[in-house]
Amino acid sequence: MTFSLSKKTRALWQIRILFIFIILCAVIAFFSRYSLWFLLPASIIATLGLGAAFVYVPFYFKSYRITVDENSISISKGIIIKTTNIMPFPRLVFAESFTTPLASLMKLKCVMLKAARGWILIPEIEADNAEFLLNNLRVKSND
Amino acid sequence: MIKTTFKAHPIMILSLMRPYIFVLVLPLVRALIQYVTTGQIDGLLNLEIIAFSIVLTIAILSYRAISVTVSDQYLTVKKGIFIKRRAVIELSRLSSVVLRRNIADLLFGSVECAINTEAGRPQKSDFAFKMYIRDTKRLFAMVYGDEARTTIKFSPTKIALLAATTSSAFSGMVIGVPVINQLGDLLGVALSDMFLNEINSISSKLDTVFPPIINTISLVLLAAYAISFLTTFLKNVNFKLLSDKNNIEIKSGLIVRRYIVFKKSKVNNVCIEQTPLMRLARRYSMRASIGGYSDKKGEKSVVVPAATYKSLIKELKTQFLQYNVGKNIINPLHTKANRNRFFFAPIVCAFAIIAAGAVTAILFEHFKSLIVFTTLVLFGIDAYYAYVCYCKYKRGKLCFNDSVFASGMFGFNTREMYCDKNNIGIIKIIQTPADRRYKTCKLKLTVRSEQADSIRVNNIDLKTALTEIKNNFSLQKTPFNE
Repeated sequence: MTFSLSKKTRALWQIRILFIFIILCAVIAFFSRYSLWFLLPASIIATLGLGAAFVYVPFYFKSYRITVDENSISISKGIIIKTTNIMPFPRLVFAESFTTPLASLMKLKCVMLKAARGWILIPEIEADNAEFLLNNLRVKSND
Repeated sequence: MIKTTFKAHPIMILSLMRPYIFVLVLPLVRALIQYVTTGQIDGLLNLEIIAFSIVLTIAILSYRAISVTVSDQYLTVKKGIFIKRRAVIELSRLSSVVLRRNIADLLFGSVECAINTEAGRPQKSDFAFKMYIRDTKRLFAMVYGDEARTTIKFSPTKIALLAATTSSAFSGMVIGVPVINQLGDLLGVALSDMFLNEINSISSKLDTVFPPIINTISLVLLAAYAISFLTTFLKNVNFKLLSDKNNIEIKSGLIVRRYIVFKKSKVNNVCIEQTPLMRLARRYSMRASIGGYSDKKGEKSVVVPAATYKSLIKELKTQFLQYNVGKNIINPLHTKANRNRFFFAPIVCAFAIIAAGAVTAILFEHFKSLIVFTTLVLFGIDAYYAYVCYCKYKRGKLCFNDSVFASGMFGFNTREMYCDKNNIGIIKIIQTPADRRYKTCKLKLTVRSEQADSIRVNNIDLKTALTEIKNNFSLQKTPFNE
């Protein structure tokens, strides 16, 4: 079974990134009352924030491919540098799900798969899918 | 499927607030006492009360969010208020469950429970929380079954022997110095200076052939050793080993009580060790290394504190049936030339000590007695090192089978290591120019675990070692392409 990340995940990360960059811009822009030069870094940060939120994030999250087969789970991601993480089920020690208040409102959950000396993080996916994944992995790791 | 959910003990609120105790709780208490005694309110009191209330509310909510659910196959841990976490762990994947009970726990009927897996961070439990002591029996019965277990008790004399032979002045300093400094800070007294002055005055009264500085150092080392001894003794006294077919339980401690349970199948390796002091008493100790077992000092757990070699081997065969030593034992070559190679390093060290002693005695004439004393001590250490090298030659053994057995020295300790073949992480073959000449090698085995145990066997026949490795680890090619 192969699936990619939902549009809601992309939206969630866009909100998070915009929120962080807005605060950063506001803090730097606040100092513009002392010198207008502060507007320059503020505008650079604003551009970077917009670029990250509306260019990088959509492509990055679109590149995610999560494949679950009989023996392993593999996650491929990346725009310029592409990486693939493969975790064989016998190596999986336990799975953990996380949810923040905002992600919870959007019914999304993040899943972390832990192995000895390593882990794989699957960014927020639909809560039902996360539950399915957790239950499915639990059955698989039993084999 | 029967599911049982365990909630955290309310004392968890205090545990969660512990990081803020010095910055928030203590200043608030101090300000309140000041208000009661002098009638004056500190300007920061209002702010402190608000911050304290927020921290307390978060701690209460966090405590209420913690739950552990155990079913016949899985253990689920839920926690967190803003970031909600839910971890699902297969019971067969648990490395160990550790219970720790301090005096406060004894008063409130609580216990600190740490759940460990191989995926945890080194020196840290995966999940730790306070739970009701009455719940622990049910939890253990569900996780490890309630099969009747045979109990072996170890007398305080044996524990004292373990403490005496495994304690060191260094570990005593590591424990003692921060305690003395913090106590001094808290009381506003220069305790460390007082101790040093006291030791100085005692050493000046001692009438020995050694210089006063040696007396002082000896007294400091003795005091540190005493601290280490006391700590080890209190930690291990009341030692009980309970075991059934699949599990091992270890109970120990007097003031802080500890209770560790782990499956025998989760043991990475077992080591039988003898420290130099234990050698005097002709006793050995046995410990198991469990993946992810965290107790601030690593993932090792003492299974037998002190016993004779014969009884330890008997215990090993009873507790860990999976370790079968094969018949193809590889030894260091027992030839005169090979024996002399083992003594090469101590002989070089002896010459270096003589040279260093002679040079410093000529350069610093006024410190002749100190230099002579130091040289003698170094000679003693070198003589012991020579003995260790002889032991490496005499006792070095290696055997590959379904389980791996290796015997040799680790530092100044004698070590025998037993582990499953699949648990071997790294096999390192080292060849020095002398090894190449004599067609031998040094072989180091490291177990696959967070705080990996290792053992090295020196100067064994290269061809035999390579053939054994190839046969037992199903290698297509022999290492070194021979």
